[in-house]
Amino acid sequence: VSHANRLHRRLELCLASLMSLGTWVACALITVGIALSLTVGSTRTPFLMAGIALIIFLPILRLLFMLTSFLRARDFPIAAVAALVLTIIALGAVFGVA
Amino acid sequence: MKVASAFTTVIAVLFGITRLLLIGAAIICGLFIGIGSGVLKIPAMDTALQLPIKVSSATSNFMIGVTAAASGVALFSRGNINLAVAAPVALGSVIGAMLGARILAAVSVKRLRVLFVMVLFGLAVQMTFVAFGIHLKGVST
Repeated sequence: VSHANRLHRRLELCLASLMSLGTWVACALITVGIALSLTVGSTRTPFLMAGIALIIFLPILRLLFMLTSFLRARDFPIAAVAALVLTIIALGAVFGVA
Repeated sequence: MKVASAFTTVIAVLFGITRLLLIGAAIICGLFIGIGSGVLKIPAMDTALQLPIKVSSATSNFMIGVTAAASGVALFSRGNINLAVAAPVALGSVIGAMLGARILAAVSVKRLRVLFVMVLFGLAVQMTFVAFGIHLKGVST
């Protein structure tokens, strides 16, 4: 196994634990949000919003990582696909707000 | 040697065509039917791309995350997401995903395939009902 491969593997593991941590944080936020909405009555608590936003953001983080790792591996066709998907998500965000 | 290279060329072309078919199917599902097509992606990858079913299942799950994020960002920024519904579903999905990832690694391929065929059959029956205008309560496409 080359040095670059080992580095990539370590990055993958690091990202996996980051995603896992992100999921736990999002779940904690949502649980607090649900508990608050049950006591306060309104579902528009910042905890719920933050939890759902984090859940949506995690796969985008994965995509960003894929783009950089494919660029580093000089696999340009796949990197282009990752960039295209990220562009579609960005467009969705822009047109969603507009 | 010539036959072998011709054969690999044919395989490569077929592989390209099936990928195009998958892209087409995904566009149709996304645009017109309004389903994420997660369940339909697995047999497509399993049969057309000859991927192992566990790989197909894991890949399909990942694809759902990415495609859902694309529309999720737009809908979230518009405020179209009903948090009272989304929050419990998100919690349930996380629990299901964690259990599923462990079960998927442990279960035999044969049993997984049987289970999958049952799910597909149920989906086919339900979609047939919907096509004839009969909506089953508590089930959505």
